[in-house]
Parts: sequence; C-alpha cells; structure tokens
Amino acid sequence: MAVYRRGYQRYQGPLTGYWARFLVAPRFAWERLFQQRQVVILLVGAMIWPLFCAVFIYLANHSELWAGLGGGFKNFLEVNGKFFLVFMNAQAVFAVLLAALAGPGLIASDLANNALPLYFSRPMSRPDYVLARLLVLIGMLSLVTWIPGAALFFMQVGMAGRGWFSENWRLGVGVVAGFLIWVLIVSLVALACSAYVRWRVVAGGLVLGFFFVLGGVAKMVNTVFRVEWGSVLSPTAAMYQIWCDMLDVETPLGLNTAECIGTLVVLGVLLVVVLERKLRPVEVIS
Amino acid sequence: MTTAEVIFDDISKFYGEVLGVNRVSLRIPPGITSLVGPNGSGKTTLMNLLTGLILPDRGSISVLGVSPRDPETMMRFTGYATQYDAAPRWATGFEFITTGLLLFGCSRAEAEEKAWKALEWVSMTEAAHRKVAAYSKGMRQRVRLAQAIAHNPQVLVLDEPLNGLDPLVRAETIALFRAWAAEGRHVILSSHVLQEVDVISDQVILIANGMIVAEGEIRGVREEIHDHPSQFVIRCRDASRIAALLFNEDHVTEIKLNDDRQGMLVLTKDREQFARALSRIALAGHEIDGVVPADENVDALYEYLIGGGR
Amino acid sequence: MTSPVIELDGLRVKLGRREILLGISCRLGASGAGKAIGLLGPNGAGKSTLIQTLLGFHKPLAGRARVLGYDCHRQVREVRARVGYMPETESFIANMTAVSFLRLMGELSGLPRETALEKAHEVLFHVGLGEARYRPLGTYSLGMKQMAKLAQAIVHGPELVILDEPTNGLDPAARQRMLKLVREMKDDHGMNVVVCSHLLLDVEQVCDEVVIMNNGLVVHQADLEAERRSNRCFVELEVIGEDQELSGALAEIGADGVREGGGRWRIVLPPSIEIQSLWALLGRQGLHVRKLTHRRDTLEEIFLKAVGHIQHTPGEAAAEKSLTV
Repeated sequence: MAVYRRGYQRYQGPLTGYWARFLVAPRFAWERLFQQRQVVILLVGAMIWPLFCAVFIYLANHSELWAGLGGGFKNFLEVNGKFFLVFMNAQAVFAVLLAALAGPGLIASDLANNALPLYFSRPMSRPDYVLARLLVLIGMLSLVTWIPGAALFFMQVGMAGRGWFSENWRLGVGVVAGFLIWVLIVSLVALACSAYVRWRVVAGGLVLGFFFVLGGVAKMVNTVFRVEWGSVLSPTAAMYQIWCDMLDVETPLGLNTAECIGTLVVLGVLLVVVLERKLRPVEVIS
Repeated sequence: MTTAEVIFDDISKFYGEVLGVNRVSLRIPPGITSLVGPNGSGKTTLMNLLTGLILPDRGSISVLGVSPRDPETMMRFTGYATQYDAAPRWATGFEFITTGLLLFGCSRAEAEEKAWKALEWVSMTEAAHRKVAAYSKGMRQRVRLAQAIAHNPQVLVLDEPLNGLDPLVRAETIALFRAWAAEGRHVILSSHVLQEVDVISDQVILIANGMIVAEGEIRGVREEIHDHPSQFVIRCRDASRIAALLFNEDHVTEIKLNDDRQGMLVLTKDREQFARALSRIALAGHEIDGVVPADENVDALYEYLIGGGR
Repeated sequence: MTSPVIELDGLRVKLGRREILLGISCRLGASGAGKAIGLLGPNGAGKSTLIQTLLGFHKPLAGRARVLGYDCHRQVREVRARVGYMPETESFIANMTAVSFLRLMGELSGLPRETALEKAHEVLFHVGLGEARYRPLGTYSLGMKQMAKLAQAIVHGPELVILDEPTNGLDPAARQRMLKLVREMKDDHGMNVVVCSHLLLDVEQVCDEVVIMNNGLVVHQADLEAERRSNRCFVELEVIGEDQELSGALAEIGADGVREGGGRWRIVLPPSIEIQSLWALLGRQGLHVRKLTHRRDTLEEIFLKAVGHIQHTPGEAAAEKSLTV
C-alpha cells in the first residue's frame, strides 16, 4: 500500500525558446478562429469565385470545347490582366468581410476585460503581441486571396505553356504582390478598429465602414469639387489603381500610381500609431 | 407613531426567480450596525429596499416611522452610498455633490457650502475640482460617501464604504462613523473585513442565502450559540501541568497544546467557571502570562453560523 | 549572504508630467528563502508605479531596479519569465474556459505544451476552481475570477509572485482561502511573494517583512517579528466583577491603570512587577479575569507612525512610561 501526496507542484524545468513562445498566441488564436461557424462558412463561400475562375481558365485553354460558338466568345474567354483584375476585386471584398468578421475577436476579447497586463507581465513585448495577431489575420486572409490567385496563375501556366508564361509572368507577380499589400492594409485596419472599439460587432461594422464609407467620401469629394484626385482618399480606389498598374490594365480613375502608394503608406503608418497608443499594459493619465 | 428604529417587517424580494431576501424581519436601533454575509446573500437588496430604490414583494418597511414608499419625506433624512460607481465622469466631485443638494431644494449658496463641508469631512478638498474620471478608486469611494452625508441625514446607508481606502483614510472614516453614531444617528454599513466590523460596530446582522442568521450585539449573539463551546487561548510557562489541572474541571471539553508547550487552546462550556478556575490556578503559583477569548468576534460567529470553505 | 529578490538603487520614475517615485533605494527579500514582503502605503504613494516599473511597463527616469539579479528595463524578458503578476483590476478573457486560459498563459510564459496543460489542471484544483474549470471565465463570480487571476500568476512556477490587492472584494471565507494559498506559496513551494494591500490585517497574517511607502519614497522597512516585540510592561486586561477599586489597588503596587469601561483596563506595569503580582491583586479584589494580554504594536500602529500620523506607537509610549513610573 502506498499513499501519494500529489497536488500542485511548482514547475522548475526548462522553458521554451523565443520562437516557440512567439507562435503560442497565433496558434491559440488560429484554433479559436476556426471554431467560429460564421468564419468557416464565409471562408467556404469565398472559394466559390475562384472555382468559377478555374472553370474559366479551363475553358479558355480548351477552345475545342466551344469551337462552334463563334468568335465573340474567344475575345471574352481570354486569360489576361483584366481577368485577374476581376478575380482580385471579388476576393478583395471577401477579404474585407472576413476581416470584419474575424478580426475584432482577436483583440477585442483581450481589451474588453483588461487582459493586457496579464500578457505583458510575461516575456512578450508589444510588437510581439501585435505581430502575433497580425500573423493570424494575414494567414487567414491569404487563404482567400493570393493563395488561390497563385494557384490559378500556375494552373493557367500549366495549361497554356511556357510561351504564355514568358509573356505574362508579370501578371503572377502582380497578383501575389498586390494581394499581399491589400491583405496587410486590411489586417492593420481590422486590428486598429478592434483596438479602438471594445464591442466585436461594432468593431466589425467599423471595419466595413472604413472601406465602404471612405469610398463614398471619395466619390463625394470628386463630385462636389469636380476633380479626379478625391479617389486617393479611398484606400480601395488607391489599391485598384496600383493593381491596374501592375497588371497593365487601363484604368478609368486617372490617378497617379505614386500618389496611391503614398496614401497607402501614410494609412499604414497611421494605423500602426493607433495600435501603439491603444495597446498599452497600463493607461497613463497625466 | 414615530420610533427611533428602522424596521423590516416580514420582507421578501425576488427578482423573477432570483432570490433577493426571504422573509426578513429586523429592528435596527441607532448606532453603528454592520451587515455581514457572503456575496449574493442579500445585503445590497436590503439596502436598496431600505432606501426605496426597489419595492418589496411582501411586508413593510419603516424608517424612523416613515415608509420608503414616500421618498419625498424619507430621502430627506436618509443618505445612501452605493457599492458601485455612479458619479458621471464628466463632472467634478464638487459639481456632483452640489447638484445633488440642489435637488433637495437648497439655494445655490447653501448647496455649495454644504458640499464643501462634506468634502472636508472626507478630506477631498484638494481634488474637489478635478473631473471624476481622473479619480482613483479610493477617491471615488470618498466622493460617494460625501454625497451621502452632505445633506446631514439621520440615517446613513453605506454599502462597503471602506473598500479600496488606504489605512489612514480608513481610520479617519471610522472616526467619522463613530462621531455620527454618538449623535444618535443610524449608521448601517456592510463590510467583508470582519476584524474591523468587530471593532467599530454596536450591533451586527449576519445574513446568508437571503435570510437573517443572527442579529444583535456581538457578545450577546455569541452567548446564544450553544452548539460551540467557548474557546480561550492561554499563554503560560508550563502548559502540560496547567492543562492537567484544567482537565479536572468538568466544564472543560477539549484542550489543544501548542507545539512549543508555551500555550494552549481550551474549549469550555462555562465561561464564568473557567475564569474562576484560572484564578485558582494562577494564585496557586502557576505562571499564566496571558488569557485571550478566541471566538468572541465576528470572525468566529461567521464561521460558526455561515461557514463556507476554510 | 544571499542576494536580494528586489534591489532598488536611486530609482526615479516619471509618468506623464509628474514624478511619482522620487529616488528609492532598498533591498528586499532573500533569494530562495520563500518569504512574503508586504508593500504598504497611502493612496498615491507610488506602490502601483513601483510594481509596474519592476515588470518593465515604465522606463525609469534615473537609477536602477533589479529583480532576482536582472535589470528591470534592460533585461525585461528575463525578469518577466521569473515573475508572476496578479493585477488589482479585473483581468480575464471572457470567452475562454479556465483551462484554455491557463494553458495560454502558461505557454506564453515558456512552459512546454504538454506541461502547460498538466499545470493548468493542477493549479486550478489547487486554488479551488476544480469543478468550474471547463466553464468560460465570463460566467465566474468575483471570488472565482480573483482565484483565476492568482492561478495564472503561479501556473509557470515563478520565483517571485506580485499580488496587488489579492483579497479585494472577497467575502470572509474566500479571503481566508486566499491568505491560506499565499502562505502555502511561500512555505510549501518556496516562492517569494510581494503583497500590496490596504488591509493591514491581511498583511500581518501573511508577511514576514514590510516596506511602507509615502509620497514616492520608502519611509519604513522592517522585519515584522522584530518590530512586534511584545512589551511586557504594557498589559490589556478585562475583568468580571466590581472593578471600581482597581485603580487604587494598582497604584499601591506601583502600576498605572487607565479604565476604558465595560471591565476593560490598560495597565502599565513598572519593570519590577511580575504578572503573578497582578493575579494576586485581582484575586484580592475578588475579580475574575476574562482577558489578559501583553499588548503588541499592531501593524496599523507601525504604519501610522511611519507615515507620520502619530508620534509614537502605544508600545513605545508604554515603554517610556514604565521607566518613569
């Protein structure tokens, strides 16, 4: 017979390294993300358009299937910059919707009940915290943006052959790079909104509003002042301009690409500043 | 018929299915009365009923002869400091109290004078003109107290008034309560710090599960609990010898010796006889350094009557 | 000589526009000794700021702060890996279960994955939340949330645990449980504990050393056992019986007695008189003893003297008096 005394024992073993610890928060957040049903449904829904596009690519490369339908179709079914632009526009909207749905849950629940001091009393700095959250969002948004985009591009290359690739490799770069910028901006906006506002639903609305309202403001500026440059105020328009430039497509917006890049950079910096001010372990009131 | 008591007569209050208080009857005389009980036992419900903020489902309440259903009269001589923060964040402490006083019908000058006096009582004159949003927890507590006493009420109802106050301010506030009680006012407060309740209260009310477990003066309550023998801690040189002598007494039920043999805990059924036995033992030459009753305080009462997870 | 747990050297900290800590130098605790240090002071003395500086939330204006030998500003990660913190304000993540929450906190502190899960369960049972550990934290009562906060502070087995107002808002039974856990932490598990509290009674029960702050400076630092030396000449007495003549009787043997009413007396004995004489005197007066104790300075009295509210503690006053009687 033996009697055991086993209760709480103080841990005195080895601790994990920096990178393992850094990935802890993203891991937990990622798990919780996929436990939410709406997120999963939206993710699946966001795959429908890429599926159509894949069918399109298939048809475009197998002209024998629709040979009898006439010439007009041929112009339509061409895989070029315009095609990818249309693809990107649709997925960009899904990206915003996903960020609005899933983003707030990442930070809002930490802020709502003042859990930040608990994080920062552990070996974690503020940039670590933000980067960890950013990683999760970027990861999820990548699933619906440049990853399907790259897949489609390579599918096209596979079917159309080397020749098409050497002419249009810039399209691939444009899709991936363009989406990466977009994903970064959307993630920053989602994080900043949820750091600013405590309630998840309101933060989500704020994210949507950010993009759509600013688009409306830009149009208003254009109409009222009868100018073209108002569109710079809208990040969506700015992004669109940059994509058009990358994909060699004509754009009706009449904006200077450099200006657009400038706006996005300024926006990014502002968002980082907001995050820096809001995510403090202790509020200092002078 | 006016009385000098606060009377609860067979009061019940339920929030839908949730229990507030269940058939409570109390008579509270003037002086400092402490309400003691676990969280959720009904202390705040009793206070809200007393001040007329909620109405009972059955029974009647009388505060110095006036019913809380007549707040116009009753709230003139009653002051209430709640547990939770209710001061508007945009106001300064001074404005908050002054506005409250204006509601009583005081003139502007009178209200400002009384507000300032109340702030002096709680030592908040320095920060009086800063916004409430910038106050620390202890400062907000003091402002709440000030607004409760500003109109010089006869009955003070205070929900955990010492929560968050540092030891200096605690001592000063307790002195304030004592002064008010000495004037014949009712000071009814609730607290979780039982040692303080011991020191400052004239009477104590223990409440658990929405029902009154005990009420009255602390020592009187203790004497009525017969299930538990009285406990005394003795400090002495030769514990074993003295313990042997005490075991000869038939009122002693249990003795626990300290590890260092320099003291013991004695349980006895009869305090008077015990005191006599001790005197005999001391006069017979055994050195007894100290005698302290171990369970005539609210802590012991709480443990005996309410208990819960030590 | 063992190294101190907390070492401050001319520490000055400024928040916003005000300088809160005005230059503190002291050494607290002994590494590996498993002691509890009480951090006391009036509101605005700078206790929270000091704790936050130790955790690296604020940068010192001047001077240094070291915890367990590591600099609080330059070696923040090392400090935070060895420290557990229980903040005063409510801190939790509402939609996580207690087990997930503690698993997250444990892994963030550096516990390996499997260990974190084991420790999460262990520590939840230890603090008394065993039955509720699969429920979301948002459904917990106030007492349970405090316990969960304590659990996250100790799950990674830190060498130093900082508790800011641990018994805040707890009802008497929960308060006793919390204090018992703190005692176990230092006695059984060898952790060093800093307890910051306004409830001096709690600090008295648990702490071995106290540090008293006022206006941004340390005004008193003491070992509690040594401070509360019981004064053998200062006696508190409570009698049953007719005690009108007691004052005169006391004067006869050279003692000074003050009547407090209700049979209670405060007596200062001259150094030559033993307690036996007092018993004999009471016996002669026909009085029985209800309470007899040598008065020790309470922590509250030590505190009030340290912040300048009173000149002498009653123990000191009695000691002086007995020499003149």
